[in-house]
Amino acid sequence: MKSKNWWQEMEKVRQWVKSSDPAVSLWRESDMNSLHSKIMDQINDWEEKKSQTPSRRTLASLLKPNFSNKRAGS
Amino acid sequence: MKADLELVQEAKEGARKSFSELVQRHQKQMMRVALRMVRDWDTAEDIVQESFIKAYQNISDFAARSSFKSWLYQITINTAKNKLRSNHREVIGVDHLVMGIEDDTEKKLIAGDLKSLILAEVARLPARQQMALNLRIYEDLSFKEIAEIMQCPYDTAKANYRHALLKLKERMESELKTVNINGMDPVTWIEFGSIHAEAEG
Repeated sequence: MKSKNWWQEMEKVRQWVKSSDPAVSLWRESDMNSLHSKIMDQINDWEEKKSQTPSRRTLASLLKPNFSNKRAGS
Repeated sequence: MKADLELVQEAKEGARKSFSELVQRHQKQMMRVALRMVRDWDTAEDIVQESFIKAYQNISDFAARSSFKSWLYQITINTAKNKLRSNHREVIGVDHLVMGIEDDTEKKLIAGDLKSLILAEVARLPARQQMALNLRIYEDLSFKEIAEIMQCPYDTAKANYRHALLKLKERMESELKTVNINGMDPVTWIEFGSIHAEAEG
């Protein structure tokens, strides 16, 4: 079992690190509102593109040779 | 309030509104973790956008073996690592990833910037120790969550965190012993109020 002193020392280091969080000084709260919109806009764009692109199956059926045009008896 | 997994299920069924709520719920945490890795707002924002889009595009693959949040952290951290690689930062393999930080520690310390010294020391830790430390201290995650994100056993996540703390303690003590800031006792620079023993777990 570790001594109380050991835990105190570790807590001190933990506090050093916590107090130096680089995300705090770089944080821009006002920019967080637009981030959500940017993400959802990109998702909507992706969904739109996906719906406009024919699926593999559709594409395969479009590329399938049309056998009805074959000459009779060939 | 709906649980994450409920929203995930709805998103899997095509409900974009449910995914939008998941973005709202987790974007700050993902921004913070990306920001700590790249130290630049615009780059971090790109990483978070890319991560959420990847998550959306692959949501059908999410099997709920971990929490949605842990899965999202995994995606964000991997996207940030890829970004750092492509930016030709100081990267020597994923396991030796060094988060961007200037190495003028002595100058910063003399200038009284203890925070920079701590950050420099954190940046010198092995990548996996650094990650465990960041997720535990800044994100306040449990070791179970950290293990899920780092894809390692619970005990390994815990050991990485403890080794990181021990190394930091040794390095900070030796740094502070060698540098005398304007004749002041360095210990006075690192007083952060009352000290509580950290609970096991």
